[in-house]
Amino acid sequence: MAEVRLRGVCKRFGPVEALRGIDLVIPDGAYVCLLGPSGCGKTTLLRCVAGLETVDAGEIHIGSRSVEALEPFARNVGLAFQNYALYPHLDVRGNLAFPLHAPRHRAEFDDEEIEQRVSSVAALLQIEALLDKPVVALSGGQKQRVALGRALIRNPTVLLLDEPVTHLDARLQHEMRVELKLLQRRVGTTTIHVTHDQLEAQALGDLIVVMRDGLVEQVGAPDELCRRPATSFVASFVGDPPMSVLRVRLEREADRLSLRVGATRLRPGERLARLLDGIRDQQVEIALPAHDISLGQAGDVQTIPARVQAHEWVGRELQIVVALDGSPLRLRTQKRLALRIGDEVAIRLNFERAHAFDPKTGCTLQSSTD
Amino acid sequence: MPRIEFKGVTKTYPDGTRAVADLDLVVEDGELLCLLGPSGCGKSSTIRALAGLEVVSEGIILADNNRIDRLPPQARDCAMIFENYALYPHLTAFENIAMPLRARRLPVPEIKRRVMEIARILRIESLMGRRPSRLSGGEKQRVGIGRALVREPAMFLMDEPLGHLEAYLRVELRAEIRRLQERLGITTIYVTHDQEEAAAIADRIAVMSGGRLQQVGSFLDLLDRPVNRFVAEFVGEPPMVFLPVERTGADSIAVKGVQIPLSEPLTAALRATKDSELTLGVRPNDICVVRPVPEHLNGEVTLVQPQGDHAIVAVRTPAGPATVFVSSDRRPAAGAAVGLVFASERLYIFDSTARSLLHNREDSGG
Repeated sequence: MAEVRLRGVCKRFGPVEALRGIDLVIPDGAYVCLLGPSGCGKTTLLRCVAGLETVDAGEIHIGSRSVEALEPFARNVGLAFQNYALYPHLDVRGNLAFPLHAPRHRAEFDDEEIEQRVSSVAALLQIEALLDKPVVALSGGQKQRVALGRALIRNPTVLLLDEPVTHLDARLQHEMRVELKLLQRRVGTTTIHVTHDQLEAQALGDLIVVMRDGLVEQVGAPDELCRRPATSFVASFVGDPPMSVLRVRLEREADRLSLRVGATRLRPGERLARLLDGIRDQQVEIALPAHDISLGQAGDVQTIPARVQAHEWVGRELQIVVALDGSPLRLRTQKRLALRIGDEVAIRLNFERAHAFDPKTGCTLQSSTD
Repeated sequence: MPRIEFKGVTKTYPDGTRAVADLDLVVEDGELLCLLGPSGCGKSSTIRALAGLEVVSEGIILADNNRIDRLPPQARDCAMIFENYALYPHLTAFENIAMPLRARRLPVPEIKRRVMEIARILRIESLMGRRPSRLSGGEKQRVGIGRALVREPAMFLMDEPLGHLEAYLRVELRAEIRRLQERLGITTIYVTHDQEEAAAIADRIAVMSGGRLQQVGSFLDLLDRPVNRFVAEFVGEPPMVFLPVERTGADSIAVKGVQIPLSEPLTAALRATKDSELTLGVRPNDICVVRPVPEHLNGEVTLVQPQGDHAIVAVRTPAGPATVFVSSDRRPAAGAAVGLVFASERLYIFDSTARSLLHNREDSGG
């Protein structure tokens, strides 16, 4: 077990800057999720820690050792990928034992030790009954357990997981999340888990590292990201559902502030008005939780006309996406509505819990103590 | 667009496997109906029989009251979409979509107009010149959907069309499919094993298991009034919590000695049965976490998974594991001792044959 520290890590693939200077500390024993959309650099970062990619600049420490120059096996990391990457010609036992048989380690583990490690890791993952089965005969969930077992068999210092449950169906994903988290608790290994699924990251991560365009956008506990998103990107990416972000124009008339959305002027409410006090820019980005966006009656004050783009049931609630001045807004309601795509609805916005961001940098306008 | 009716449809394969047993099901004109169930439940055989890819062994299939189960597949006017897109690799996206129209020898300007119209709806206009090898999985499936729809079929049949795509693409494409289906008003049957997907896009959901139709209804009907334990467990995420029950009297039950207050209808349903092998069912959002006191079912929190403004909390109780939805500001810590209180109006009891007692009662009451 060890802390992982990255300083100024850069990686370029031809003209593409995959990582543009990553500074990050992953605490000893923590479960950390690297979260971001595809192309944000999260997998490249994981591969750099694993040693599957060399870094162009910067330092990576695992514990007290500087590892950028070390070969992958010498870093003592355990790896599991989304496509499992099991050896089809070997049975489960053979796959689990594989890292112990790798030529350089032949002297390190004798048959008895190998047998003992295979059975203890099989017990840990509850796959004892599968040991003699060919891997092609396994279900997706079983394959993923074998892949995790193989990653853990050398008692790695750091466990690296790349989208480990993405290929499973929804119910199995939920079950595997629980297993992963309980497993990590038991073994206590520092774990870095790459995912594009923010609910998965929230469910599993002690800390979440939100990445975008090769940079770290925010690092925080799940609650922190939801309550104090540092940027409008984090606000629009994390949460169930994530907040909706819209661009509004600030208009001041005789010291009274109003927010202009399309052709409609809205009162910001006291809290938001205070937050926007002293902002010189004409425009700001406002992020609103889904429950602060509701359907009103057409013609009511403080409502804005918008068109239904999509509607679907999420649990007991109907999630409706409307287009407002070009931005999609997500709202949820417990009402049973017979909506059709393209219907015009009146949207009411409640700014009580709104977050505000600088439209140029995307950074929050809240002070950290607010 | 036709109304489809299955009447007593049974499909038995030559090896004796009965894939579908005595299916009665109506799909309304313009409706999107999901066939939902685990693999091997008969959902794929059902739409294959409708498309004419399988011959039904017994029963009939009607489209607007005309029998179609003996018609050759091409006469049924179904477009079918599979999990693998089956695009022609040597043709461009445009040529793939145009294929069914070329086969009908439509004039070239007409073909061009209809292909580009579909491409616009599916937002793939800019990809029309590409071959499949240069398209991503989601783009290929859009082209596949375009090819199926371009000839304006009467029915749209989809067999796990998004099964192999990544989660975020599935969410995006299912919204797209729904938008398209609503816009064109095509009677659609959509096969999936994913209840989240079914909930998101279906007007109604037909749940199948072991070749038999279990229940048909809106997603909320299935959530609130499951007829049996299978439907109760399969629909809803996280799944319903089931706890074994002791019968302590004609109209009372207990879980590990803790009396469970029941609603009036459930008490009446309980009184009406002599069955003593009962299971209590409760959904994770109908359980409250409180301080542990002897009158409650107590347990230990084993895991807390935050999910934005709520959290999924796993609790180990003497009666078995329970999953609870808790709002974020009130969530307990892992290892905490907690008591569980159930919303008495929202409980289910299943008998020894796994039927819901409430459902039995509704049946007998007419």
